[in-house]
Amino acid sequence: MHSQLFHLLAPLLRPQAYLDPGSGSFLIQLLLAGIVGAGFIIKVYWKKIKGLFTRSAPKKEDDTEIQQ
Amino acid sequence: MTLKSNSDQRLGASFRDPSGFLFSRDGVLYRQVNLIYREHYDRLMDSRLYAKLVYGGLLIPHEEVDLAPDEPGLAYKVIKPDPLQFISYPYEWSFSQLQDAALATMAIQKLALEAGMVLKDASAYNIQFHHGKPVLIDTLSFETYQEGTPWVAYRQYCQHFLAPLALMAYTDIRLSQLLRVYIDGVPLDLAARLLPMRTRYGLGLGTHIHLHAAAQKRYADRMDVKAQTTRKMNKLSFLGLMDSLETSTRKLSWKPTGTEWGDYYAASSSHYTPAAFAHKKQLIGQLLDRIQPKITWDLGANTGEFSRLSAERGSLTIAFDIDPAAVEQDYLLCKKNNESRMLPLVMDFTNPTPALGWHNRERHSLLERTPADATLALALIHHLAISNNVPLPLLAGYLHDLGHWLIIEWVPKEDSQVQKLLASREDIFSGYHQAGFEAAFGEYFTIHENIAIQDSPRVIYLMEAR
Repeated sequence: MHSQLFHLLAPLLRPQAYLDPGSGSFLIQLLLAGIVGAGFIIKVYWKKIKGLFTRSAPKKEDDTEIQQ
Repeated sequence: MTLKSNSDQRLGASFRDPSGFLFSRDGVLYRQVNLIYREHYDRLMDSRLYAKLVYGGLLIPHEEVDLAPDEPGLAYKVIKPDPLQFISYPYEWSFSQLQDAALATMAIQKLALEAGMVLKDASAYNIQFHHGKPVLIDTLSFETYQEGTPWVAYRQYCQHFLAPLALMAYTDIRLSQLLRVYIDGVPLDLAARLLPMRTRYGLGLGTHIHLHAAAQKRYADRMDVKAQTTRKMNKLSFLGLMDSLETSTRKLSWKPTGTEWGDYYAASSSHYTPAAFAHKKQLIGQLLDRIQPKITWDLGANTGEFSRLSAERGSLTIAFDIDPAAVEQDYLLCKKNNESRMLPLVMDFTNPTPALGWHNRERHSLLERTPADATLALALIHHLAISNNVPLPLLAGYLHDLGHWLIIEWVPKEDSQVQKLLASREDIFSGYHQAGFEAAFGEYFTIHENIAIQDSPRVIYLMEAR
């Protein structure tokens, strides 16, 4: 591995992190970070705003769906 | 599921992760947790994450046991996971099975993040269907979350889940079989080439597959990434990425249409009268009551009509079919009815799953996952003996290798379905007659019963392996 890449990926080279994250896969996440972060805030607040108007509706958590 | 070997051994698929490994002793499966993983294991157990995951049916439960480790120099603990009912692989799953496995992975990731941990891998092979639901079987998949770092398993999640699901949904359902070729998931550049152009412009697949593939290509041999090193990924962005992956996965859908036998039962009137169909069901039920199998394999199960006769009697039933549409319908029905003893799987018995991976020992062949207590081979024999030219003695030998009891339907040449198969080809099957069938199977089995189905030329046999 190239030395600069090694430094970049060093935090991931803990003994238990056995997967090679892939330099491209690693960097694309940093590139997307701002967009997905902003998108996430908007989504969370939008849900909250919507919740104010639909308080009586039953709350359905996404992650419980697969267990039904 | 029991292991075929009785000797002590480390499992062939358990070598990549230095955190620990699986080993068998006296036919029981254990997992050694290595000292190197101590901090993370303790956190999993102490943070209540383990309890939450097990309570939610998302992680296989285990108990810590006082057993001599397989490699004492490395060992922190030995744990004994609950035994799995059956091992299956992503290339044997229908669309919704793979999607549910992906969503289970994301649900686990969410709970892990709430507890300050994160998944350090996202392999589809770490998920198994247990009591009808997808469950994580690798207890050592968690590590402490360190804010600032991207997700180490992002590539693996995209290769194992998102890319094959997108290919199945947008290009062709049969592309699930790419997972059989590429043991670490579908390469993203290949997925990007095979997906239709319109997927490039969607936010989900556009970024996680297409842009991701482009980044992999761009940075594969680039030296100028230093400028990026100061950038970090804060927790909000990390959560955003997970949310985006989950949404992209959930949005994908596939409706079974136009495949081989998806509406087989709707068309079944052409080869069974209602009376014949009812009699066949009654016969199979009676034979199952008599032999009471714990594990039943239904070969050519279609949407599981007859498999359910066995599952309803408490037998764990693996319902194999070649048609991904039938398996999809069967799985959706299992899910709807909360069936815990049925596992529908895609399988082509003319070319059943081989052993795969490193040393051909990472993923088991179908034969290595035998034996079943009972095998059902209903309306199947003509497809193997005539469409695939398998001589009856070879067929008998193969079915003998699968399980102890065999309930098999003899479909004679005069049957309309056999006539259909022979319509476009020369009849070279002079040995395909009932006496030849009994002679061939009599070599491997004791024939206990042969009962003609009312109103039909077909005959149901009950046989026991010699």
